[in-house]
Amino acid sequence: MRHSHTTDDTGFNYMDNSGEEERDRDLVGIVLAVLFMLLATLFQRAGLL
Amino acid sequence: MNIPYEERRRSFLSCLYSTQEILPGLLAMFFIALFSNNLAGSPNPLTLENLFSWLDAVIGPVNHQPLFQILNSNFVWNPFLMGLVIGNVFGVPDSWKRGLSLIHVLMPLGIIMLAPHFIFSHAEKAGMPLILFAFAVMVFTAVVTLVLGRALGMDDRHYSTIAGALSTGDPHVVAILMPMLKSKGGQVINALGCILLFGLVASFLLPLLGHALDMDDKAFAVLSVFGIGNTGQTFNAAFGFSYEAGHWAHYFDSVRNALMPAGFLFVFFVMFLRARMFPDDAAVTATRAHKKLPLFIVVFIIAWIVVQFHVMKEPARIAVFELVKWDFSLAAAALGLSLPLSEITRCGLRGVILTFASGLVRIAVLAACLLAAAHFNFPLV
Repeated sequence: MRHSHTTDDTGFNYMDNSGEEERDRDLVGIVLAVLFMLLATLFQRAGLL
Repeated sequence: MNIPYEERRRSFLSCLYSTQEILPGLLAMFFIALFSNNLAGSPNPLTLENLFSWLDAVIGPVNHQPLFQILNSNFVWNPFLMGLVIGNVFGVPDSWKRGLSLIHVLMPLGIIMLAPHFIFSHAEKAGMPLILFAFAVMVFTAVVTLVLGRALGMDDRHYSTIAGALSTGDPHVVAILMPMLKSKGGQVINALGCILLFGLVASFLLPLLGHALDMDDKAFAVLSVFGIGNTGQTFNAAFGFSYEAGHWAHYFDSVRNALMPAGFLFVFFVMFLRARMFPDDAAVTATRAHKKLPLFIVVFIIAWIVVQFHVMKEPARIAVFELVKWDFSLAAAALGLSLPLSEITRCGLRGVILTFASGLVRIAVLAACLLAAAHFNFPLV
């Protein structure tokens, strides 16, 4: 059954997360998290924060 | 027609889709977050957080606590609530859905950035006996909840989510465990509601038990911090017992906070190993979708270890936590929009039964240990 809150008329369900797409999403999250934490640390060490 | 991801993929950035595709959903999340919480950099005063604060001031404190803190208003709950209301009243337009899929980027991002929040040295002041005791209680609660949940015939994603949140004493652990255990949105919110309800009831009744057992202030503070956990509800119980116990609860709460990752990682690894041990068992669904250990969990563990060496000092640590608030506000908005109310109630009352049964066992064991420590003069606290 189509889940009206999460599935559009093309069948795309935004709460589905699996396979290669899941790994890519995880990777983007990891890259951003490491980047933000590194920047915050570097800014502090450089006296900018 | 929905083109499979593998066919449209050019690089790992393909999961972000085009700006045109994600903009409506991203803006929906953004505005829900903006009108829910007071977020860093946003000057908007018309937020749900401020509305609750105003109501707190009108109602007055309950056991020295703002009522909406006891009811768990915070940066996850507020946007979730707003998303839930909007989704159930107006529905979710199709044009939002690509953008809302960013929740799956925001979850690992937020979880990793939480690592600097859990610093072990913050707990050291309480002493090693109490830290080890708290750890033992946490593992005991997780195991009891997992065993009881299985005995009740519940879905393993549902009862393991409850186990993680109840053992760590933080209902928001349900959001952290969602991508780890692969729990469904309805199970996650049902678990959150169960933990909140238990904490609410326990926080008003626990002082009666404390007085009946003639506990001292320090012992009762330990009982409320590790028997309830959820900060506002813990302080409601402790200050409801005595003013001194309330202050001791503030002192001991850092132990629970520092140990939290150990609790949810314990539940995750138990379920992960179980799924590997029983690959053909259809009843084993938690973590089943992970073919191997997810990379974001490995990165979280590494970041958690690194920050213990005080690599990230304040205010960088605070700045990162402000980003976490932004991140989880956006993600909670998408989660709230995704859930019809029927999906939350579909999990039934077994979650409530499990939470109250495990929670009561934990309180009984904790109280017995604290009374025994007092009787034998064991320097637990």
